[in-house]
Amino acid sequence: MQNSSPAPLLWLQNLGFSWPGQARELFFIPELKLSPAERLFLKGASGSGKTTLLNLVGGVLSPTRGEIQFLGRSFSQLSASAKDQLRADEMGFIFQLFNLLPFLTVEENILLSAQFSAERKSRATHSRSLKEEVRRLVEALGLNESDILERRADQLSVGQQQRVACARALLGRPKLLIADEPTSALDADTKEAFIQLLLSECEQSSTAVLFVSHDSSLAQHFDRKLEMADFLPDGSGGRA
Amino acid sequence: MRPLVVLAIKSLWNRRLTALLTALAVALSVVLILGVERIHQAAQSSFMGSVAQTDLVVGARTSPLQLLLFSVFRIGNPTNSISVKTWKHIDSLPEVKWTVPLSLGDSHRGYPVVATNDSYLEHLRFRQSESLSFVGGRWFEALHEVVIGAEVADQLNYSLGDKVVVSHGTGDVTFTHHDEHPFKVVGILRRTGTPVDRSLHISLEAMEALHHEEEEHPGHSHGHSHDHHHHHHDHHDHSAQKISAFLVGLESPRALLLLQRQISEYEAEPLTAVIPGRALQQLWQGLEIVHNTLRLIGALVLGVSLLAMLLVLLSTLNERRREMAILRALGASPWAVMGLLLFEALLLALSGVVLGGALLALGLVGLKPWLEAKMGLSLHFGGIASGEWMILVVILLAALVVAFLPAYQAYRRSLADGLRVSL
Repeated sequence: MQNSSPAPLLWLQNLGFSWPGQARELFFIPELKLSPAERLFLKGASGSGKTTLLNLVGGVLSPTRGEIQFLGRSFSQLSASAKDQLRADEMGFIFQLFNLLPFLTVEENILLSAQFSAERKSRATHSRSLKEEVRRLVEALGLNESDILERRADQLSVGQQQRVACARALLGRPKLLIADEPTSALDADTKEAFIQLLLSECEQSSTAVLFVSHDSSLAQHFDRKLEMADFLPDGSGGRA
Repeated sequence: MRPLVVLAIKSLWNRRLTALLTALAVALSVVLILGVERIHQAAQSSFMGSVAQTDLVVGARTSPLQLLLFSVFRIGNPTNSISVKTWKHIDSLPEVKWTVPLSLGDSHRGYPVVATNDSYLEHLRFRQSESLSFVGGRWFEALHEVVIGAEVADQLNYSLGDKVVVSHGTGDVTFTHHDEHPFKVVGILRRTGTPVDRSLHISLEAMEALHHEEEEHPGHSHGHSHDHHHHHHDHHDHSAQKISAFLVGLESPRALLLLQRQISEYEAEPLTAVIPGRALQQLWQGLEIVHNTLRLIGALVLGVSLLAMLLVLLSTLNERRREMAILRALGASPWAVMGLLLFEALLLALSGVVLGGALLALGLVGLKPWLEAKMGLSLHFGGIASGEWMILVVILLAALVVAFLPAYQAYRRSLADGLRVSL
């Protein structure tokens, strides 16, 4: 353990999970620390339990054993609704596909973050109006069409949809962005550009990133890289 | 919760065709359920309005309901007549304030012809206390004069001065015509919303004259000879000998039961005296099974429409799992997801109820002229009665109960799915 590092944003200790009725654990994480604004790449093939891990960190699932601390608060001490509120206030999510509600416009989709969290709304409107902040975010993420905010989400290309999802996840500067294969549906060119924009925007808002992907070529953009394979319960357990 | 309310509305709007059809199903059941109650009440108050201030209806011995139906509502035929002497006798009793004689059984193009006298105009009331008045003209005075109701004037397009031929028997197909003595329209009554609108009024003497002519020229239009009959009808006294029934108004309601008994036990001829309100109550009791059947049908249609809503909600659950997962990632609790579906159902039912109310109001406004013309029903549109509010609230609650199943499924799934749905 590194005592010199600042208080971790996310701290997993002796974390194990198994599905009900199954004795074998899906994974076991002796310890994993994520510092504020740190960028962590977690490599995992599908079926490695990474989605389950994200559900644990999101507070949607509870671990079979071990402890999750986020912002110094222990999930085991929090009620389900407190965890829901924490997720709304301090976490942004991007998944591989289907991040947006198809029947809402781009702007309405992005504003959802602020609607579910008064905290994020007040942070987003710190220096400008909510509308201006939304406009700033989509432009920073490379969506420059003037009518983009008024378009319905289901009229966008996949690349555009992922950027809108990113804007929504980052509105109101959450402490942690969790990205689950957000680039898998993108082609090679847009993939690079997307990651660059995402990471630079996270840097600006001091948001830590937990990036999960099977594609290790992306790892170069991150501060640190871990592999789900290190957390196999019966294998040689790796350490963070 | 506010963003969820907006989301539910936008999500429903996105599926507006299915939503509209679902709401329409609920709306139709609302129309049926409230419509049955509305028309039931309209019929009751309209029937009561037709006998306003009449204390007794007296006729030859028959069932009270039949007497009331033919005398006041002009439905069916009088079976027997009573003598004018009897009527005059009862009219002279001290408890009796007024009487209105009625002689029925003739018709004009399907509309009943009522022979009566001046007291009809003076004492008949409708809608509690309104008395008859004229759109034009006056009450009949001479033998061959007729006063027609508003509906007769409208439908047959009659105006003052027109000639009208009266035929014996009721119904469109008549057996004998008296072309030699057409009646002249001298008055048109203002619309009352009672059977008066559908009636033609002549004097008792005119009716008597008609029937005398008939006796003297039997089967006139059938081409039979009539040479073996007497030919002194010019010298006839046309004063009536028989009437079908008469209405009675009392000096004081206290005499009602006593007088009713007195009349029923009248010795000179067998009579029936009916208290209109009571006879109507009997009628409603008799019709209660019909009313209840219609209510049951309404409830079944409501059940079917709620099942349709259940199907719609259940069938969309699968395609909306992603939507639910997105909301979860944004911080919505599984309870909020459940609430979203319940709210959606409530919104569907509410639009159904509002739509149904609108359809019903439109329908009643559209049907009003027809109901007034054909049924003599006068509809009054007030606001929503308290009983109707209850029905509407029950419908909304039923929708919520039904929606609980898909809502609970959504809750379970969003717990199991977590933040990411792999479909």
